[in-house]
Amino acid sequence: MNIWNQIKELIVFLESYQRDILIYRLTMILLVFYHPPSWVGEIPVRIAVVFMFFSSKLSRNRWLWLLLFIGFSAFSMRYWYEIDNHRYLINYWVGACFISTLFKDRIHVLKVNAHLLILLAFIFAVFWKLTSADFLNGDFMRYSLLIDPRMQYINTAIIGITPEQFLDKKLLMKYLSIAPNLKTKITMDSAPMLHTVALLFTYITLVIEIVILISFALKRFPLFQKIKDYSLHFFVLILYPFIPVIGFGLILSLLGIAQLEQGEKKKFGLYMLAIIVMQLATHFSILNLVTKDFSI
Amino acid sequence: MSFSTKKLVPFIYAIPLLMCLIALNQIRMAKRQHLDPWKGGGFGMFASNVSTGSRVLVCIGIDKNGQEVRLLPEFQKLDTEKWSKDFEVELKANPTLEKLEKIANALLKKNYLKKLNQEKQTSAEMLGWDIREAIYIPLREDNLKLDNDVMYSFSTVKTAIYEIRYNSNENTVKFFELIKYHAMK
Repeated sequence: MNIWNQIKELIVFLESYQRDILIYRLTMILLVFYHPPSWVGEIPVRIAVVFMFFSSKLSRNRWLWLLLFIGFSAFSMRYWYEIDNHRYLINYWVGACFISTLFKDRIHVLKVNAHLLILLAFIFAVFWKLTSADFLNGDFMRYSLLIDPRMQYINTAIIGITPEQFLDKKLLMKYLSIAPNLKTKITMDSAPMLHTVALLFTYITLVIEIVILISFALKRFPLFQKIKDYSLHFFVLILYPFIPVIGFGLILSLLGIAQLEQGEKKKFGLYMLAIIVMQLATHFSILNLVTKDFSI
Repeated sequence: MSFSTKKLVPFIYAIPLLMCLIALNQIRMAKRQHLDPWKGGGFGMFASNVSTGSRVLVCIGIDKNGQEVRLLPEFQKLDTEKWSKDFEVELKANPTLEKLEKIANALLKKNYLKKLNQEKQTSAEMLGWDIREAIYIPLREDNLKLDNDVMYSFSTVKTAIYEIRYNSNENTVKFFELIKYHAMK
């Protein structure tokens, strides 16, 4: 049997696995990698993971989920101004897992919550992009292309600003930050393609996010029911291997699986693929490949 | 014990409701105050150039003659107040007058020794002070100093958060004063 068939068999096996147990355990895997960097979040994960992986019954244990929810929430409340949005999303999902354990129909509660969390995350993300003073005019993307190291290789490949020019500006920005004053101005690099590329990236991002938002909001319509997951797959698989915000990619993929109906094998398989790709992207994202060597 | 889904339906929506409340509060704080749009759970990431990393704390002492000098923004070394270890991150992510006031008042209370930044790799050098540029070192609470050291104090201390702004028309970046506080004796 070739490897492809084995992978297909594994996907079929996981897809038909008791859905609530599968979701709880996939969530635990996520939490092992992305727990808060403090004992208050780490210790509940260390305790819960042992029980949940050895016993199906314990993976549904509400007290373990409550312990995790309290630990994660305590950290989020303390560092609310510092943590990234995917940490909030992970925290909400842990809360949803806890709440689901209070009900008989756990799978339904997980499904409803996963769908709403995806929908709300995209509602707020799109809201911010539409109301931000510097997004729609392309300024955010343009400045990111000029300054953000994660965008530097895109800048060099498409726009033509050399790594040396990029580094020069980074140094000037650093000097400005360590001797801040209101008079000094730094003139940034420019290139004929810069504004066009920035606008293109701006509107591609916005359109993808709006498509995900609309398709998850209107999932009762057959067309959107059909495309909602593929649009989220596209978003995760296109964006995160390039700009590896792995935690966000993982939680979105997990929420994607949790809101699927039983039997949606192809969509399930693509979410699992996204989870594997996210793992690879922790070290071998396009960003890593073009900016680092392979030394261990 | 498990609850029937029908009986406690609203409870199922508790987490999405919590998410809405936190995000709406974040939007209010970011739009009306100065909260970093990327932070606070409002999903404003990758939408704005404004971020915690684009902000710096500036501390300026003004003496009786009106002369302004830059003070080291190392307020956490000041022993007259208690500082949480991430006070500066919180200040930059969510700058408020109260936080700037706390720093300004702590700096104002101090007496300082004027020294020349003689060595490389000092924190002053890393914070942008040139070699042989004057630095003002706050004395400890007991005002311990050598006999020939001269003490300085400031009649006003200004603290401010500067934020880097990108002007796409000029294709330039420069600092803009976001929020400031003056503490006076």
